[in-house]
Amino acid sequence: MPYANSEQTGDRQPVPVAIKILVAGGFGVGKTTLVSSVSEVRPLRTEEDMSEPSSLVDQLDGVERKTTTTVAMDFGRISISDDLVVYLFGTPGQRRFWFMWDELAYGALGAVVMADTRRLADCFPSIDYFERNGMPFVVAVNCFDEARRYPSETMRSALNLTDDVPLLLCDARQRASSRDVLVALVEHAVARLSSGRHVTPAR
Amino acid sequence: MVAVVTVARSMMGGDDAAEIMSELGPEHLRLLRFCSSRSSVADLATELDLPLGVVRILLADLRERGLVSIHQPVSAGLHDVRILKEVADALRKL
Repeated sequence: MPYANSEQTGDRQPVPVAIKILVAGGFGVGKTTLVSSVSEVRPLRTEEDMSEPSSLVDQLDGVERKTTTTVAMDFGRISISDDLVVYLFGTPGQRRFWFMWDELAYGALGAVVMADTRRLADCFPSIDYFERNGMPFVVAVNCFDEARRYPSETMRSALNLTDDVPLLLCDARQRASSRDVLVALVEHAVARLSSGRHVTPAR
Repeated sequence: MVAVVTVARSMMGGDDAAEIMSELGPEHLRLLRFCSSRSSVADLATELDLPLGVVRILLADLRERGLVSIHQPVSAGLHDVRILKEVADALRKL
């Protein structure tokens, strides 16, 4: 157990600092791959109220009174020290899971928005969301083997990104590449903090 | 979700220990065992393979009996450049 230590002194042990990072983006863009390449990944189940669109997708015959549904999201943990832990949450990409985002975003350091050049529009909602609530984010273009490569400027313009949002190319299967994306996000958050643009919680 | 749970009171000994234990279900006891490792609520949910909402309810029961404390650790690190730089340095070494 990463938290276990031999210096526990009853109730006075220090509480670890937890840094929460979200990994967002469209369905199948590589969120699970990125989280699992840098951390031990486990599914985290949540029982959520079922939204209208979900009830159209989920087969409800015979369970019409069911108003909640189980959602699994990717959950990764990187223990930096006994007192400092980074948590990664892969936010469900489908539109019908948006209702979970506010809770996930609350108190988060920032987000990695993953993009696939073949389906760039899939990440627009994530970008909109983080722009709206003022959370620092970086865009990580996952370079699938079969996908065409474009110059960064072309992608920035297609995504309508402001100059201050970092855009990186990555291979989510590679630990070093996924790590670099996380480092870029933390550095971006530091830069914003240093320049006085406060990290604002979602609510 | 990333709030850290710690054991507030040891169940070893104490006159009322047996009485409190008898009020708890097996899920409570299992959860209580995991709490000794200073885990987050999300960690506990994955360890126990229970939905987050269920773990929250069980934790609320334990807190009501004064068995665990739940600490919100998040905001401390987010505005502290020194901590964030420490995080970036540590990530680079991964």
